[in-house]
Amino acid sequence: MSAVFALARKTEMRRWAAGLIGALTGGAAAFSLAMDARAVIDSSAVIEQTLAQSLGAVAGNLPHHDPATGIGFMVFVAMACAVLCALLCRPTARLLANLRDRPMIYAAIAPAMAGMVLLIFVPFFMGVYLAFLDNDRNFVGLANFMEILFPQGTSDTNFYFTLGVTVMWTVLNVVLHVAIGLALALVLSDSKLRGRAWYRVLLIVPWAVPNYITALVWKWIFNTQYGPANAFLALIGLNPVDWLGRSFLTNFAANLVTNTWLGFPFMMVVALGALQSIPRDLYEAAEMDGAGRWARFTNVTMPLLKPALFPAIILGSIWTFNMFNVVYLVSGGAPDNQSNILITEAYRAFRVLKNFGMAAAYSLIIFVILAVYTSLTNRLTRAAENVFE
Amino acid sequence: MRKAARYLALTIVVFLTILPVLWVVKIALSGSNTFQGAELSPIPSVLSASNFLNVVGTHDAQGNWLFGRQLLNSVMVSVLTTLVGITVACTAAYAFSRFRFEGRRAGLFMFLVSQMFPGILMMVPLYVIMQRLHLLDTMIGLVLIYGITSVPFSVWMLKGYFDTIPKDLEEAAVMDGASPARVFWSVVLPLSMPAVAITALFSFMTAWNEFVLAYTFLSEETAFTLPVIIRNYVGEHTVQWGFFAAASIIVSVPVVALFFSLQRYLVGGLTAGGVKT
Repeated sequence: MSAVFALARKTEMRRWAAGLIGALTGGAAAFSLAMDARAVIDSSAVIEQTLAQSLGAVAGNLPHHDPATGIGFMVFVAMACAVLCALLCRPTARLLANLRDRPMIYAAIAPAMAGMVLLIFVPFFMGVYLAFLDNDRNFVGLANFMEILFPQGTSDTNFYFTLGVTVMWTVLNVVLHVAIGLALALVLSDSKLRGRAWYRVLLIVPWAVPNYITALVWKWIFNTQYGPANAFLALIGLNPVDWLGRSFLTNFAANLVTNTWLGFPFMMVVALGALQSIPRDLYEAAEMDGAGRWARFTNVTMPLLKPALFPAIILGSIWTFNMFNVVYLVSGGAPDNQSNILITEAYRAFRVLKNFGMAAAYSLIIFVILAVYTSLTNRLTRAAENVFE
Repeated sequence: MRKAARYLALTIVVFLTILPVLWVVKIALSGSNTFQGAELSPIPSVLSASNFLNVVGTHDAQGNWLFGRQLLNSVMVSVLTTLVGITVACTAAYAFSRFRFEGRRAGLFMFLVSQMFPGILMMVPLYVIMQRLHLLDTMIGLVLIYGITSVPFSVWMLKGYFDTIPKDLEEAAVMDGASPARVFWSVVLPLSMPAVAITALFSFMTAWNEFVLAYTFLSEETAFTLPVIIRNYVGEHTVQWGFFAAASIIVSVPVVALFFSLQRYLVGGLTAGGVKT
């Protein structure tokens, strides 16, 4: 009994120690980050300019300010690190023990992990830090988030409207991608179809073309004067439409059509592969049992497609949710930023409003939404994975 | 009758799919940079190579062949990215597929999470990091960023494929006294060629098609990659549609060709990765 208590106290002690170490390293990290913020902010003006140029926009200058070292921020980070370290104390110990036993495994994953940490996670956390700064580089806590989530009358963007547009955009796109892709895959998977390889090759074309080229081409297609879209309307006797003009619906539709063209081949290919892996005899057995075409589709095809389709749908919706190129290059948010999705709105906060803290806060909100979405759908996928077992 | 209807429907869909491409080809061949009016027909009325010749024939102030240099940059960056991405992803994916170790779930989760980070958030910090490492304006800097950003997707796909390879084969090799590295190199890798080919294709495309980072991190005209020059044809007020179309075709052709040559792997390679996540 006393041994148990001793052990418990020992783990408790270890946790406190880990927490303390975490607080110290966190504080040090926060300090160096705060110092680095000067570099981040100084170069953000340069980048902002080149970025704006690279996306064909008019560049503006960021006002220059001194960086704040932000005592409040350091305390905040130190506390967060302490909690994290205390929580991770046990897993870390196990990981170290594991590392001693099987160094080969960790050597194999080390390059990937090191690269990811340096080039994906460190920039991410630097970005997170910026979300807590205002335009004068002062640590302002959650003020940026408050401004986004509880918009005042003076603010010229409404987060909830954009969120609604983004959700609608993602859902419509993914539904269209899956519906078109699946339908084509079902037709193409018929081995009796002649010229299958050719159809397949031609249908993959939109995927192979770089998406910024696609976006610019579709912007031309929807051009009021020169665009083939209006030429077609004229051919069937309709008045030309100012697609990328003052109407939210036509702008949104233009984006949607572009992204549908861009996105269905991926779903088609995934579905094709999954269809090929379904054993023939399952269909034969179902046919013997008197299952019709539809019954075979719902009882054999769909359940076996799910394990392949679910991850593709999750990935596809993440990509669509963050599809910057199409929205930015086709409609550009017209009219009055209404057709913007969250990611282009974040970019607007960065470029037009010249508020990097706000842009970072926006990006962080996008990240949280996607993280929640993925963890929710992940459960569904697990459920779907059991089909074969 | 039913069959004919199916072929007809399929042909219409295919036609609609490649219609925008045909239009671009038409503009590129038109020999002009402007439009007289809207035209619906995708059949070129003029056949002129002048847009292509203009795009390909650019020279810098010293009279060096600029386009050739930029093409070489693009090829180098893309090939190196593919090599880095594939090497890093293959070893990691194998470890994640075959071994159960502490931190495995966390590692896999990290790959997934990294897909959700919005690019806008990373751009400025990434610039600073590259500056600190003195990798701005260098090919290595771009290769590292592209290579690593392609890793998460590659690892997920390769791991999924490795999962489907029966363990018996490897066990047999181990019995014969092969080391883990040897098993991976001579048993697992040859069997996974479809997935490796697809992963390579995606890594290649990441680098070949990327332009925002390339434009931001490169300032020398001689260091540009091809997507950067395409963007230059589409200005704020005037768009050189003819040059844009010709350059777009030049940039797209290699990728489309790769896609076509690897497409028989594409179907199998992708799905195996999708089935087991």
